[in-house]
Amino acid sequence: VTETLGPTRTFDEGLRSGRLIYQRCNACSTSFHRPRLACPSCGSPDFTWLEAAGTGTVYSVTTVERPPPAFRADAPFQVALVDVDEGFRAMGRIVGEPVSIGTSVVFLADQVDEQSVRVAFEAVSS
Amino acid sequence: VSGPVPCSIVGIGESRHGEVPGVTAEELMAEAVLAALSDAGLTTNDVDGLFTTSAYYWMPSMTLGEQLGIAPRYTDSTCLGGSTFVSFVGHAAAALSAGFCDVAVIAYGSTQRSDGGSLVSMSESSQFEAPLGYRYPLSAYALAAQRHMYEFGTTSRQLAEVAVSSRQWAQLTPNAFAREPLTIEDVESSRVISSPIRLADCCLVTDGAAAFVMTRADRASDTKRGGGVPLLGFAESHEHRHIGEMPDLVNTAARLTGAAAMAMAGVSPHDLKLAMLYDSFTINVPLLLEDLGFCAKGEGGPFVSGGRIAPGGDLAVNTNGGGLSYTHPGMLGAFLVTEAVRQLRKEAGDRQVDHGGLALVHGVGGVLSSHATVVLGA
Repeated sequence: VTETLGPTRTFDEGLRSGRLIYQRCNACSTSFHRPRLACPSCGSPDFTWLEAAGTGTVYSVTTVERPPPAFRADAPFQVALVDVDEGFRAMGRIVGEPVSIGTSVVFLADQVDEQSVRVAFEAVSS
Repeated sequence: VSGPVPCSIVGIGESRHGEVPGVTAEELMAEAVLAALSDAGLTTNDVDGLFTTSAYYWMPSMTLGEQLGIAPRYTDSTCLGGSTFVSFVGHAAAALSAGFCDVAVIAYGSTQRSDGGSLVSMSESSQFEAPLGYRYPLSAYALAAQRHMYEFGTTSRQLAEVAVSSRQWAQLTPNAFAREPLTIEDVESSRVISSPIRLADCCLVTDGAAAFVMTRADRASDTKRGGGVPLLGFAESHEHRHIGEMPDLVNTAARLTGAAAMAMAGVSPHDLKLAMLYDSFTINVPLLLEDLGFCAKGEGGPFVSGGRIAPGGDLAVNTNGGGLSYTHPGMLGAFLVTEAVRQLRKEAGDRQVDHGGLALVHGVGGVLSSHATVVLGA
């Protein structure tokens, strides 16, 4: 049995190693975050994995005051959609100072526990 | 734009709703189906097309068929979230047009309130979103609302106007679940769940079921309801599943489905005086009014203000109180259709509006993901 990681597992492995990796279409240069087998813009299955520097701008953000029970100890916390400079949008937890739409942020890999790492962003101090 | 052969809604039914302990979801659904068939002058033996989806049953059209003793020639358990039953109007019309069935029943039922009062869902968790701990689906709508406020200056007060307008309609609706007075101040002082969405911006969680019966127009005259309520236009689409993949949080696929359904029907927003819009959260209403063409993009906030969508306003929206005040047993779509039909048959009592014989129904499912628009006549 030859194990070939699909796009989802490939992304996960990247995140576990502290990197925000993404796919870029070799045919039309579209960047995409949600792991896929083909470009959502042109359909080409020919893509390259790249690592994002992770800087970006908050596109929208919500402060979760009443989360599901498993996350109640964290509340309140922010979840944001970030337009990453490499040309894709990613959702992540906000760590550190609260942000608002338009805030410049940078990616960090948030180690939740031994098993899991989640996408997070923090404000870039100006 | 060509459509299916003419089809009509010839019967509607709703179960008891609100808080209905002691019954199962399939029993409530069967209650609604039997009421709809009785309304049409038909029986379960006439039904040969069955359409339902559920958060309770893995193979829901089989469960409902078994419960009612219906062995359909055409069966559809598609799940598109809460909009499914608006989509089913088109799916049923296609099946009826093709001759795959002659009498289609579309039904939904749940006991969400009696089962603990929070959303019962089979929705899988997203690799990206679940570890963040946000509230699904509420926080996704919150992100859209926040962006709408940022781009267009929409205010919490304008969103509160939506909740208050819905409540005013519900106060005219004897069997609405939430009928106690509600003010803008009440909405704005309710607790924040996920900013900017407050508790009073959210739909109800109720038990309940709704069903309707469709036939081709040439068969409709055989039913108790004569010609029934004709289907004039239909369109559906989806552009994403997860909110992070929605191309633009202030532009939904209702742009596409609204324009296509209205073109099929040969009507424009100016012709419409009644709209049943899926109001899982208050932000839906301004967003949909914009995308369906009732006002320009960004003007949804002012449009819903000053009682303009309340009783006596310019456009009647969700005349039974909608998901915010009438009922919301997890999925609302079927109830949008039953209320539109009641209005078109002029059976809406104190809340009857002068609609000119037209109604638009728009369903939303997932996180502003799936959209379906139906135009009905009288």
